[in-house]
Amino acid sequence: MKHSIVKLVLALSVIGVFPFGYASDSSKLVALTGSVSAVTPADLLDPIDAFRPKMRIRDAFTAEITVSIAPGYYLYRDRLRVELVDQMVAGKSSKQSPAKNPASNPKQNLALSIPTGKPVYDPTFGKVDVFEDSVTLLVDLARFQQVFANGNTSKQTLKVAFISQGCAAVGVCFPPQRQTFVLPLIASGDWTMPKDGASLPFGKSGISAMSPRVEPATPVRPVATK
Amino acid sequence: MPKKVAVFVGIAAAILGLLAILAITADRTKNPSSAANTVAAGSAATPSVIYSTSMADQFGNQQSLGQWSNKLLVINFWATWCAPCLEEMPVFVRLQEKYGPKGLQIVGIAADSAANSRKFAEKLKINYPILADEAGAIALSKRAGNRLGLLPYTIVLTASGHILMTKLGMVVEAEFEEVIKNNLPHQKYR
Repeated sequence: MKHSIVKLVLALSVIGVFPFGYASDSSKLVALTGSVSAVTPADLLDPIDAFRPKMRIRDAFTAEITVSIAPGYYLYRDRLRVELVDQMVAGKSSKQSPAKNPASNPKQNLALSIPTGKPVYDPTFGKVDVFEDSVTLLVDLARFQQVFANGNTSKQTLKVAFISQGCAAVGVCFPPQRQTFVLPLIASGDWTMPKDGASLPFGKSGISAMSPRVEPATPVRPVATK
Repeated sequence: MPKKVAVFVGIAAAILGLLAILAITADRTKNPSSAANTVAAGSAATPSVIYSTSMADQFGNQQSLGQWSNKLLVINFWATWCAPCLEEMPVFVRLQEKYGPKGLQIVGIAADSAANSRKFAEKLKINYPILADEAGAIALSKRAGNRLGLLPYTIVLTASGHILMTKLGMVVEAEFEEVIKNNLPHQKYR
């Protein structure tokens, strides 16, 4: 009987039931952290799994993008940007009437506040800042309050594209990724002022992280490579 | 060991084994190309697709990959934003210099603008043609088996039109040189 059990255990280890069978997972770990020659597509994640951005309105003047970065992957700090794709007021796209809304020229970059990354030395690019694990950046939306300030209380929505570029530490790089989000904006008067009058980035004082917060916007186009 | 216990362990292990097999099968079904590192026969990457591709070079002149079909053709997909790509390019420069007269032709296809590509090609003293197509390069590499469109990606075609190998990530110079040496178009060159 003992022999039968041993045979059964050995047989099952071959098909991956017992720890002997986990050799493939171990080799994957080595591949991701070691030899470049071991890179195979099977070891690598799709960009939508390697870099997962979520965007939300933080307050009347600011949106926040948090990117979760899978272990073994990194993003370049200087290759993060947010592009205004469209500004819709009362459901009307600025793309359709750019002359009436010159302030919202599509495809322009929005001002960002990005934390300092991890400095690394790249043999090609020299010292560069990268992000691992996660990064949260703030997007300046202050200028879009002008629509509300002008007495237009209509619904205002922005369509923005988050563009990023990163690599797997094993030695392969993803093309720039582009993900589009729709952000419903709220007039600053509709927000509760903070008691302490704390400052926000971009020099807008008087408003800080406060409630209510709008839930994360839904990516309207999850991933489209450039 | 009581017989009942042994039987129980055996049954439990068998069920686990069955579940493991089902999980593996499901994963492969969901992601059928995940195990492919090299281009298999019948995949989208046929030599004819590659040879019939034309792209503008770094100077704006249209170039057909088919013009090098009688060579041992190495196509290296790269981009100026890809550090490992730039790091390995001197290897291709050395190999082109050494084996170019013996029938090797290396071609770089940049997923980048012509202007950017030209600037880096000059900086790296590239001695082989550079084609540039920001979107087309990644699309072609995907058709050539590069499922995720990652860079660097290199494919080697023999002079007889056979896809010899594909490589994701930087090539290892010594190994790669062996492949080149052993597959030059004419025996006399080896």
